[in-house]
Amino acid sequence: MAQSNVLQFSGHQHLRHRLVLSILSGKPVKIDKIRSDDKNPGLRDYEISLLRLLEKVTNGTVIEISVTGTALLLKPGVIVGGTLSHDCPLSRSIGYFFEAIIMLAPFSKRPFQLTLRGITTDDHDLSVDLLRTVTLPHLQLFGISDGLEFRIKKRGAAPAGGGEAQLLCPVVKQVKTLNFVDPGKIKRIRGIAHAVRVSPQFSNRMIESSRSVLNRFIPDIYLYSDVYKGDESGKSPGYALSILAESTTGAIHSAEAVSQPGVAPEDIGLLATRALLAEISKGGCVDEKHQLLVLLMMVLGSEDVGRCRMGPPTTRTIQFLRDTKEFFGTSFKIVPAEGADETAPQLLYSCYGVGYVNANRSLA
Amino acid sequence: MKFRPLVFRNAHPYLLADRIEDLTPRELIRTSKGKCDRTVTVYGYIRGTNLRLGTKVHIPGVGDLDMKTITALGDPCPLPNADSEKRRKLSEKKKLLVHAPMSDVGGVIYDKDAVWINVPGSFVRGNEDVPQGEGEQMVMDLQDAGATLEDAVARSHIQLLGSSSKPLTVESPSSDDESDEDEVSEGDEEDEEDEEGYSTVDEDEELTGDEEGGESSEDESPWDEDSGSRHDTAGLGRAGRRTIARSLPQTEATSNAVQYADSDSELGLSGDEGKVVRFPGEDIREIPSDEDVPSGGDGDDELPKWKENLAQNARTSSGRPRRKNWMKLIYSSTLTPEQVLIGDANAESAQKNIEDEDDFFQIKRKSEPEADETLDRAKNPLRAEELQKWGDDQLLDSIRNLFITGHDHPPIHEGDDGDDAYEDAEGGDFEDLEAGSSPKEPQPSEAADVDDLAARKAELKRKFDEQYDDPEASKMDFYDEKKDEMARQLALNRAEFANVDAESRALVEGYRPGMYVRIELVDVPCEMIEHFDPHFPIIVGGLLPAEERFAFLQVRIKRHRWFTRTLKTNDPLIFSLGWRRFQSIPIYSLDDHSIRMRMLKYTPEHMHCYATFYGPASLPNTGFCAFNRLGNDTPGFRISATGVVLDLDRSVKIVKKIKLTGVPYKIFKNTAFIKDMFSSALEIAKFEGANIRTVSGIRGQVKKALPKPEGTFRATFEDKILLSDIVFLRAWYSVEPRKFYNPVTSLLLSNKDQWSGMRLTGQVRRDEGLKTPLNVNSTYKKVERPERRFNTLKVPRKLQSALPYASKPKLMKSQNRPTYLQKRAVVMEPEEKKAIALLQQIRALRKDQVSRRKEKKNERKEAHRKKVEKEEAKRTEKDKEKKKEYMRIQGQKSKREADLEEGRGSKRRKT
Repeated sequence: MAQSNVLQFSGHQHLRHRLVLSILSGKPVKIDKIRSDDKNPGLRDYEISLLRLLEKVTNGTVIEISVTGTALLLKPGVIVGGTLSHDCPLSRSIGYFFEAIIMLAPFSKRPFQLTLRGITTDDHDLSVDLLRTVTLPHLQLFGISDGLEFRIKKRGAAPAGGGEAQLLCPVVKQVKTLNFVDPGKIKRIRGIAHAVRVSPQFSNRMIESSRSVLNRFIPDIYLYSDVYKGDESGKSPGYALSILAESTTGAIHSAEAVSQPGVAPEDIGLLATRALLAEISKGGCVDEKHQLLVLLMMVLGSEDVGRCRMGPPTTRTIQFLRDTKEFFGTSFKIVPAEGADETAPQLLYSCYGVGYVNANRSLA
Repeated sequence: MKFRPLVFRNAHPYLLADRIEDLTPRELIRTSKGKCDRTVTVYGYIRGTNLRLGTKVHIPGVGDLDMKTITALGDPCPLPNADSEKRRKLSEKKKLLVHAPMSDVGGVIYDKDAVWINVPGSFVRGNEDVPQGEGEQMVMDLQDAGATLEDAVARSHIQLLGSSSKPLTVESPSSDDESDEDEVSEGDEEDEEDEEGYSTVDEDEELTGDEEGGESSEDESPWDEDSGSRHDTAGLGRAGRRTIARSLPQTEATSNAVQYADSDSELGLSGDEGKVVRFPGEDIREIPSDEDVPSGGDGDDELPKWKENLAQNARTSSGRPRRKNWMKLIYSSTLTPEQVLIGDANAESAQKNIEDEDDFFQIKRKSEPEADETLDRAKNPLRAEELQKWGDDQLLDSIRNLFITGHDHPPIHEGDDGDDAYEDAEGGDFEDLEAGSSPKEPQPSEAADVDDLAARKAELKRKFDEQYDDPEASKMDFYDEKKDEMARQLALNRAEFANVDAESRALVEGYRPGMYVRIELVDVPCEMIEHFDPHFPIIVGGLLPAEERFAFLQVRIKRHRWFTRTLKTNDPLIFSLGWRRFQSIPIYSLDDHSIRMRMLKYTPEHMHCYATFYGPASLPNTGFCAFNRLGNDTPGFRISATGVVLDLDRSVKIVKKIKLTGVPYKIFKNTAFIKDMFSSALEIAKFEGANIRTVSGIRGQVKKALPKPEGTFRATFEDKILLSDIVFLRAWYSVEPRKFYNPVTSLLLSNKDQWSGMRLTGQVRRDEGLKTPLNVNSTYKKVERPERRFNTLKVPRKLQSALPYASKPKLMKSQNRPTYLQKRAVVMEPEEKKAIALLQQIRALRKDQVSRRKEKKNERKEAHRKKVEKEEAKRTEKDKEKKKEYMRIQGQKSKREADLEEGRGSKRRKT
């Protein structure tokens, strides 16, 4: 009876969250016109890999891909989790996969112990450092905390990868609602500078340049230099700086910059710092990168009003909000937050949770 | 009794229908001879949790159904208030207000959009002797309708061809006029109606659902303007809705005339006790809707449309700078996300064009192509040149206030309450500060600031006082903490919806428990209506989204101790699980040392076991009971098992034991060739290395398939086996429950008790006259074990002689001649004889002495034991007495305490 209500989407964009929403809501989804006008039509290798990963973490999922690869039908099964590992292609970093998995992990049958191998830090997706230091605290806002852990076992920089990270996520029955309207004030800044297969001095240089800017604001700044050696440092050279600013109420803003050829580490450090300052100046309780995760958890929360103050939505967020309405029927009330001025517009997102109960969780 | 909260009922919305109406067009029923799926409305109070549109409902005995609309209606049986208490009499007019579930009181029933008049007896015009009620009077009046026959014919044309747009164009201006007039004279009419006791209608109309509002907003463009302000001014909004309400009877009248004209033949269909004339209000509503874009999400789209206006109104009224309406842009515009955002960048131009969507769209199109191949990425690319501005010191200083070290505001809170207060207070401050830092400082905000601060200070003072006065009280235990948390959340929820109108509130959070609603169900099986019997309650149970799917359910089950027979695997069982009742085929199993789930043929006695069956998913921890058969004729106790859902999955892993047997056909030392176990080398390849065993207990291993006779293999054992041994391999065979799901559709039957599902195996055999299949190999026979004869062991003499003595077989003949000692004669001397006799006598005397002594000792012992026993008894008696006394005193004491407690309570009560 549930098979009739297949949701239709088109385009390759926003594929990831549509798949996640489909699995969470249990509604089959059909996506067509995936790069049908492209020179290289169809799904990319990382998208295929994501589908494989989703198939791995679920039981009973049926994925049908058309011959040309431009259409896709996903009939979701139940999320099982457990101990799994997956090799990610080198076209995307493992953050791409973790971002999707983190949305599913709390609602699985068994606690997640997922090991992904590939590139740990790149320009497009959240690096493992940010996942560990920023994304997990966001999950904790919703009452997912005991046994939540992210381990960076090996680092792997961009071209050749070779990194490895493991996510441990407990299973919850229901997520709590969020009521997070007070952004607070920045009370501490933390950061991790890492350098693999290059001089360990590089990370110190990044930290130096970053501190030169940040020192004026606050004394509580700790930027760690995290050097991985030998086998743990992956296959390619690279370095990056991830910094986060935490406020008195626990709001976290983060930014990071990754090494580019021909750019001095000082400049990378400066870039990351400035990006952080830009992020801080936007205000809100949740930074741009985690809007999706927070909004999703708010929708899935108990049958109460959840409220969160954030900056304006990104394009992904806008599409996500629309898709969420399709899948769960929940629409957000988005009003300008009181007191926000024109230079940094902040919005108050509020919704009534659907009271999503983890039906996969077993009692036995 | 332990109080167990009804978790299931607290987690699902449901209602007990107290009224049910069939809304299917008569014509459709006639043409399909009553076999078409029906559209049905049910009415009732919502219980449990919020009921939301978009989910499915399950009516036990019918099945899963889709809700088309939910409409909140006025409470038919409202709580008495001071006003209603004043006039407490059941006059003829007030009869309409009588709430009588599943029955017909007044003869006139008001629905959301239709009026039903029930006329008893023959329905002939001019029949004056039959007392005419209000309803009949209305119908009679309708017969005097002004419409001519020509009009009627024209209208009937509309009825037949609903898609034709011509009649609509004829009709619409007139209806508009009508409505306008009505709007003008609305106040008067309302008063009249109230006097006549029509208030039910009003209430119903007031709470009309979003759908109606939506359609009308599409049909009537002038009205659309008004609708925006509905939220702000109740009066106007009312007028808008009432427009439809009033315009309905007018259109209805005409269509009724038509229906009535050809209804003479048809009226028989509509019931036995009276004739029902229907005013199909929704038919009329459907005509305009055909013209519109047919879209399922009609209702969803509507709300943001007025929200847009609403927000606009708010904007213009408040005179604040214009802001982007994110909700409209996101939920009700067709712009791509990029366009929405770019609109953000040049907000001013976008705002100008927001009224005219087409222009807006074109402008954006110019900037579209750049967003072609963008990756699905969480991080936005860092643009060094954009971030360059953060090198500017002034800019850096401008965000200093976002850090706790930023001190460019008056430090008011510092002296207050240490760090805590500081942190508490500053969060809220933050926005104000920001506003303050901008060059043009608004004056009113400062005043608000002061007020805010005062409030916050008062709160802090209160907290401090509380803590100072009673430090213990502030420490809450877990229970209080949770309660407090829930109360806070509840308050938040209430605050969030405080100034939202009922309709949009229902859209967001659903219909709350306690509301009286009308639910329109589509595609209802016709049997439900045809065989409707009000003796059987109709429960409409809401389903959670997770419960619409099918899965294998693993449950913990226990046969009921009053149920006499055991339950058999693969025998159909009827489950009552959640709202649903269905028959499925379970497989029973037990956990075998946490290694495997082992199938059981029968449920164990007095013990829980697992059962796995295919059925609709329901959340873990849902309880259920199971029946072998329904129906009243079942002898004895009907409930066969009870249990709880543990797990849902798409596959199951239950195994049963299988023993493969084979026999050796050639035996070497510890190696043997085994045949008759497998039939091909492929099978053997699968089992290489598997453990095998002979019946006598010699263990071994499968080695490799033999090339020659197909299906034989080489195996090694720990010892040499016999040719007469049977070798067996213990393996596990996975079984899957049959995907059988048969919902109990008892409400669809004319005789509700007669539902029968799949028969049980035993029932089938009885009915078909079949015997239980009997495998001759499985019957128990008398075990015959012939005595085994073994040849004597012969050790060659040569070998024997070579053996060491210890290993030599000691074969000695038994003594068959008496020994010397046995056969010698004894002759004693006289002294010897005497001595022996004496010794014997002494021994006898001694023996006698000992025995007498022993006897005496026993006697003494006995006496002593008796004495001790007596003493013991006395002591226990004393002890008992003592204990009794103690307990008595203790009891009195506790009683006194209890009394004291109660007394305190009662005293307090007295004062």
